[in-house]
Amino acid sequence: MVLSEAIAEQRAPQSPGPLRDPALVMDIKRLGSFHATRLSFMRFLMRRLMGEQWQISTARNELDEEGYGTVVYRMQANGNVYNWVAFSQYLPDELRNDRVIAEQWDVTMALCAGDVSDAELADLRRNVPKQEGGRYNSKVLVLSRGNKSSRNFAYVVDCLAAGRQPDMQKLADVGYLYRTTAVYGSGKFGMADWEKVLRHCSEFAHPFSAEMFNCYMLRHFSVQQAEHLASIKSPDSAVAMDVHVQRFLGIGNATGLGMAPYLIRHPKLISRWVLQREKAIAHAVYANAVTPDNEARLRTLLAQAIQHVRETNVPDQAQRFCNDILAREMQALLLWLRSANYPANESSWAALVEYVNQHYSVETQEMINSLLIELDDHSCQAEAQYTGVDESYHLQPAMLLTQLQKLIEQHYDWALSIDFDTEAANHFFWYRSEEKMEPRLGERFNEPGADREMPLTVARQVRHCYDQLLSCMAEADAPQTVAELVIDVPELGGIIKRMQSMAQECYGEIRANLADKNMLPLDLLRCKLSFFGVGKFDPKSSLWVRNTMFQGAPVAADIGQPFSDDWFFPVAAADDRAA
Amino acid sequence: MKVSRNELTSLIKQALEGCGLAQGNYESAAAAMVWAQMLELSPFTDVDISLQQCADMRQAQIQLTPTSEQACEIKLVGQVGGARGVTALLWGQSVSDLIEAQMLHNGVCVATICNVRDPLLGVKPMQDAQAKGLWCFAYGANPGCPDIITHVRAQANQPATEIIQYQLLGGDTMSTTELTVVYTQSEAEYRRQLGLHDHANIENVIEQITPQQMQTNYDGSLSEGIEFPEPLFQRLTHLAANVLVESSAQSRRGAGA
Repeated sequence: MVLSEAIAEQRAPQSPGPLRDPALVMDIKRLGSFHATRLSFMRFLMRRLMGEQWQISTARNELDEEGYGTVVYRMQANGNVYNWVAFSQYLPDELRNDRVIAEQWDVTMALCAGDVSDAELADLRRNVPKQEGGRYNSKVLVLSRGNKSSRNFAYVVDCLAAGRQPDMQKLADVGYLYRTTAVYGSGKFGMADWEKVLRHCSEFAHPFSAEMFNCYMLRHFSVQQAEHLASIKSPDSAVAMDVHVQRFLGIGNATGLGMAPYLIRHPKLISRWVLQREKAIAHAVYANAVTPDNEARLRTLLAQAIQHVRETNVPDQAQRFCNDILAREMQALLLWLRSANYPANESSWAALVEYVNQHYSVETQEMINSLLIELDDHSCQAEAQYTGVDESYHLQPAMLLTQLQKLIEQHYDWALSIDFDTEAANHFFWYRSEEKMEPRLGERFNEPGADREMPLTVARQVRHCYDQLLSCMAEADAPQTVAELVIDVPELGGIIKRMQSMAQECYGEIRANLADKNMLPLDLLRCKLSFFGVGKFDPKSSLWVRNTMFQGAPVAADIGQPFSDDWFFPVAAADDRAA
Repeated sequence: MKVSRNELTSLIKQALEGCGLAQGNYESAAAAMVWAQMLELSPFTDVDISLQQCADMRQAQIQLTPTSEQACEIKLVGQVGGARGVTALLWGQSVSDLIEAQMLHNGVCVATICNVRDPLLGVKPMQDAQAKGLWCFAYGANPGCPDIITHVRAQANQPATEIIQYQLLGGDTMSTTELTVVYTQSEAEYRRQLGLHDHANIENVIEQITPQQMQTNYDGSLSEGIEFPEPLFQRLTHLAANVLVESSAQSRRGAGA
């Protein structure tokens, strides 16, 4: 594949080894096999929180005997103050619903910049429980809601009330007490724009940091509420939750199709995220020393990852099968490592990666990449590059149409190779439902609404543009430049700007036909979730997935204590780890 | 009411998409309108009325006629020619792209745009051109006040665009439906063209919005939210509903339920 000079420049100088080809990396199946890494946003947030020793305190606790009421936590860091405000209310079991279209939740919450006055709190109390139906001002950074885990919450309260700790193996099945069902930021419903957060809230000037912190605070609340209810239930026998149990509890998350359009609409951002990840992989493989210590550490990580995967108990057959293969392949790799006689025979990890790529599934290949990044302290430097992406597209109006043709053929060959004349290639259409504008996937030939299709099928737009381009160029008084073409055919303006802009990027375009019958939206969701840093994927259909955040992460009580950033792939019992 | 930039941009995009505009056009228009609103340039003054005609206006055409090697006339034909909002919404970026392409070919482009009333049409596209290292200015008579002209100047490597309103001296007036736009690649040519086209001097400046003032307005909108008329917000929301699909049991299955 020939790369433009701009792309080559992005790739070359700092990388100690070749970056992977976009054709390989941006394949939707591979993106759907990404795992969390040391660069994931949650990991970054915890390093920051622990490193800067953010102070978290309870500013207001008005929970009643049933655990309902208002809670305000105050966070202070670097001279900045934030309030996390939560409203807990009674929710009948039959109304507890993970879906975006739900109207009531166990708890609703907002993360605000600065301290919240009584008047502001009253305003939040009127609006936050309505979620999308409320209005917010630019002081509010994040809006969210969550529901109790029906399997865990009552059990944990009962255990604590009875004076005992919950069973860790039981918690391994569902590693949280609450599950978020939507987290809004970036200016939704009148809240603060991302640019404001970037400029004025330095603690959260990293992708999705405020949203992640909101979830972290819900985790904190979930433990405090459980302890509160236990002490009400049995004041004489109730105990506090052991801190190691607290750490093992994360926060659940239910993610649906709403996440998918983001990946298509922000290709420059995605390109940056993937590029940083690929640079970290290249450095970990080619520049990180192969030493006995590193080799031993890799074995430990593999053993921990194996146990973590084996403890991931999900009902979905396909995911169970996938997890089983992953665990078995990692176990086999442990044996191979011994036979390959690392580190005596090898000076880099390239041989390991080559072996894995030749013998194991894509899922395992990406897991090994995650583990190699874990070995490499250099990888954290890539984080600084996540921000500062100019997401706008700029038309190059003077570009000749012959140049545009070449650009498409060079950078979008993958799109041109798709046959759009088949019914299967046009099977799905993406649209926004009138219900909370929820993105949904319809079957084009069976459902109404295709006339209101969201423009997410980039590959098809490219094909259309290319065909129109060739047709225009064949005319007698053909337009010469892109500007003239766009004047003649205005609907091409959007895709041309995108292609011209993305031709300067390494990664970013997901190389798939998102209307194809065999396309799995789960792959898109999982890609984004891996950058967030979630674990324990638990698909509920091909369209939405439950997962776990912050499981194993330090808790508020740990802030100020030594921190080793090794909380990934948490396991219920350390002594059960495979050797 | 106060709205956020992201919220307003999404809303306008959907409203214009709901009116049938092409993707590239509604994206550019939304970015330009929100940006101008953040700078308190009141770009929505006429848009409220214009939105009613949006569906018809999308068929309007742009005609470009070279009048010399370095000059051309751009005509917005069809039903366009009314409120400035429509032309800004539909054609601001496209016209700018066309002028830029001409300019890159000749080193300078002096375009006369017919059927446009207000140079504010070009503020955002000119700012974008400025970010690419180009020098540009535009001027035209104020709607209803043909003896007051507005200059918009975007100089490469400057922090923001500058807007200056002049009183024409000596009883002169200008066409209120014609806009002159000049793009150049060099400062020297920019200064030369400005000398050829400047109608005023420091004595008859009525109002000046400096780059610093624009930046202050932008920062205020970002920090406190953008002030926006609620009735227009509701109308945009109504138009945006055109892109939504009715919900049904079948469609809920398409969300994984």
